[in-house]
Amino acid sequence: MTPEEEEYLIGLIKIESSEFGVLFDLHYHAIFNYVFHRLGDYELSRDIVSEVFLKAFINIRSFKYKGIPVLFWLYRIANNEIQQHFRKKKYLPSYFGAAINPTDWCALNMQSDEEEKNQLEKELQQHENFVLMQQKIKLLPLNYQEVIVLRYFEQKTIKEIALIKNKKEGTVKSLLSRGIEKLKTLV
Amino acid sequence: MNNKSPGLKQHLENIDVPEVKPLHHQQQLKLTILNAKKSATISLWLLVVPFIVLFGGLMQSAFHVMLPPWSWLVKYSPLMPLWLRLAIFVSVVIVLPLIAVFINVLGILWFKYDKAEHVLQIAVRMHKTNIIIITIAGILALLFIGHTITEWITNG
Repeated sequence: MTPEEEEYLIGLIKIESSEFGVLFDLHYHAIFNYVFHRLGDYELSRDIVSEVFLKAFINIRSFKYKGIPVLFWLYRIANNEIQQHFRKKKYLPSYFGAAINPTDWCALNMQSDEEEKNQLEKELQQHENFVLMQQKIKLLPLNYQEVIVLRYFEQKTIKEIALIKNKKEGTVKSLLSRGIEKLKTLV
Repeated sequence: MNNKSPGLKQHLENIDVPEVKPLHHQQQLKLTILNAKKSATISLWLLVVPFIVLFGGLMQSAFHVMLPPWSWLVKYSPLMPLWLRLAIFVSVVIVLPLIAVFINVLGILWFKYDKAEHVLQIAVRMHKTNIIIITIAGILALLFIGHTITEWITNG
């Protein structure tokens, strides 16, 4: 999606909130994967991602497009939520889903939560190296975790990470470098 | 960037990262977010009708001003059979607010049945708009239910 298209979509959402569904579908997987790559826990990731999109939905009206993609704004919200989780130890999201019409469930024709969770666990078992590395990364201070996961798991460039973290590129480079050094002592 | 740890960097760059697609949660969350807003909007419309009726009644009793649709009700209700009058009264001032309460309660509740533990988990999302609507609609419905019961008792 071009910046112009994205800006147009945000304008549209401000008029008709149901258009948020388009934005949601566009970025859901990127955000879920990021949170999942940070935490490695399906249920916790689900709670945090729900909170991220709910906050985005509530605050999208005050979002002003300044050349920073919405996805990066969502990454920022996700980072804040993950920080909250680590601060509180036990994450208590203010989000709770609503009961959904049974006909909607039929229309979805999707697997149950449990099946989805099992699938993700199987997926993780096939990525042992990733799991081992993720466990080590989780021992690092949050600032380092963020840049390392964004750089190596989400394949973001230094410039993109700088935009997400609202920091200078030099700062991100130095964070990444120090993070890797710290990680090296853990691996 | 620092070059002290090329081995680890190389390892991180080559690591096979799982790509997950939780489609079930995606659809569930999307519906939840979009429906919460919808239920609040629909409920506001459901509350407008009883409020107009209540306002009309208050205007008549306080200022002796007859405003529609209250004036229409006063004018035409004697022409209607009793059951129709009752049906209109009950549906406008009791059923509509109760529907609003129901929709919003559904909008903030989350049910999850844990098959392994045989436990039904019910969670409530503290969503301001929905809770305000539930409170107002609940008060309105209770007010009219109370009024109906009192009338019924006093009139035998």
